Amino acid sequence: MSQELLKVEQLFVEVEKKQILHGIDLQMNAGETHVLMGPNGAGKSTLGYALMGNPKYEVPGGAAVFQGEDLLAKSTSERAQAGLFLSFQNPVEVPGVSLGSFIRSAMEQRGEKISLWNFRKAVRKQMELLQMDESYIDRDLNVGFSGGEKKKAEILQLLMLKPALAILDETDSGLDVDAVKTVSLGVEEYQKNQNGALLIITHSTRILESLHVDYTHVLVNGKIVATGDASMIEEINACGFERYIDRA
Amino acid sequence: MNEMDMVVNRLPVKTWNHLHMNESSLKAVHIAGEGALRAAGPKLKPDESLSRAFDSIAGGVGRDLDLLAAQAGVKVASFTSEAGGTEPLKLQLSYGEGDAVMNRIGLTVREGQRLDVIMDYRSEPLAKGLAAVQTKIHVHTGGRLRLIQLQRMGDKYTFINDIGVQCEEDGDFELIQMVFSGHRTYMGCEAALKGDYSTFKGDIAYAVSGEDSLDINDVVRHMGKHTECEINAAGSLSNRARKLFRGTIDFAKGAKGAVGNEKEEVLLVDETVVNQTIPLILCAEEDVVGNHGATIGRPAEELLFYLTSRGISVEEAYRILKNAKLEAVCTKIWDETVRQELLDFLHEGQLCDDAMKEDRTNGEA
Repeated sequence: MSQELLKVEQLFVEVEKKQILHGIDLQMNAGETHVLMGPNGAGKSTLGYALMGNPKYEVPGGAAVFQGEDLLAKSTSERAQAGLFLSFQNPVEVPGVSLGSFIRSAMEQRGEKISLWNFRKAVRKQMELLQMDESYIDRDLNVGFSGGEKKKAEILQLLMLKPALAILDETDSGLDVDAVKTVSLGVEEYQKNQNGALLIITHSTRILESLHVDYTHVLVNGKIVATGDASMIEEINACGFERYIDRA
Repeated sequence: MNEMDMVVNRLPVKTWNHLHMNESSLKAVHIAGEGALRAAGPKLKPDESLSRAFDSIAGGVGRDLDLLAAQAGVKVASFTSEAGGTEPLKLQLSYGEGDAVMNRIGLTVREGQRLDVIMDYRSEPLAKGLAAVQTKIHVHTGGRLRLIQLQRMGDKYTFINDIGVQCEEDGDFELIQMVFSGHRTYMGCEAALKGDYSTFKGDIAYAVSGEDSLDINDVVRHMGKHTECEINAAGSLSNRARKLFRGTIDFAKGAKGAVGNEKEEVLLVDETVVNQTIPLILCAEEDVVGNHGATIGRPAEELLFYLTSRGISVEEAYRILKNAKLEAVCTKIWDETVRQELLDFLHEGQLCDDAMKEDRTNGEA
């Protein structure tokens, strides 16, 4: 029997008193990959932010249980320590904090003690996979990074922090074909070697080409209007979201 | 015992009195002797002419410190650059319990020469006392002085750090000041850019916490044509800390083509802190450019969310951001050994935070 990882029931989310999500139901098991698709403005990123605990996103109703615990009762850092990860679409720049020291601090905060030597060795291996220049480890976090390097830095954090569930928010947006391939390699590594579960938020299908997808959900106007298997992705790719819009 | 009431860090032009920013005062200051100065690096010759003219170069702390030094009979230890010299001069002052000491240091950079100096001030964490250092600098034509000052003083130490510099034509002065700790710190730097094309660049970084205070008065006087200055101050205040930054760019008549920029970034960790900033640009010349900017406040919600989304607690996120202000300046330190030592100092959590201070206080009780 598959182990239940995340169960979201009737989740309502507001931003500045405006309701964005209207009763989301979602269930994920350990190691599964779910894809959340939908047109622009459907509320896909909102779900990611709300689950991660962004204070701008209020949850007036509903429940979310993660690894058997009430996710909504936890602070953002507690959610991350419990094994949840959000890859940001536009990660902020943090001058004065190097990418390496940031990842190491995050690992230490999760109770993972690692010597500097072993940390460097581990991070170098993942950077090689992501075709990232090693110098980025000592550069200020996201400062002056190109769009592609920012996305790679997010996936590097994913690989180093090894969460149980990663929410990837439009990770492939703004990337050229080669960069998508490289980022996909990193996501594949996480999926295969760490048995990580993925909730991939996207409105394109490029990043999904090399991944095994278990479920596909379509979100329109704050509601999940359809759920199916990986074949839905090809169908959406060919016909778009038009047939789902009427269902919202 | 001669005690002196002092007025320090006086703003060149007064603002409203009720703001309490025009100047600061120190009561019953007594100097009992000189601190034990340890010099390492090249054996540099003294400059008697600078020693004699020491008081003619104005420092940012102000004239009362010159008077205090004269009253206490503090001698000048001076050092002069040598042709082709590349090794930095390292000056260390270590203070002990109950010290009331002062040092006067003169640095001369001869025409076309370079001099790098690292000054390191420190005391035991629990030591109580008072220390003052005056550094007067003369950069001759085409010379360049790079100075790093590091302050790691005890929780009960009052520290006065005065700099006065005079730059001749095409002379450059670069200053990095890092304040890691100290109970009451008064820092002043006055740079007179007398020669055409002379420059001053100052980076100040600090982390002030607990009941500590930091009082700064930086003044750059543009006197020569096409002179340039840049003042960057960045730091954090937490848990009832106080900071007052006065930054004056003074364009004198005739300083045509001069450019002056000053910028301040202050991270306010909580609402108990007091932060005062007074940027001042004085203009007696039309053909100049002067800018000032400040970013002061709590960290953006978006930034905190990003850091905490990786499992970092809010407290740790603040610690990281406080260190970031110091690290950003650390990376500008040109001496690799010093830079790495300070980065290790920060990464290993040796920067005294509020919890450490409380532990010390409880331990004492």
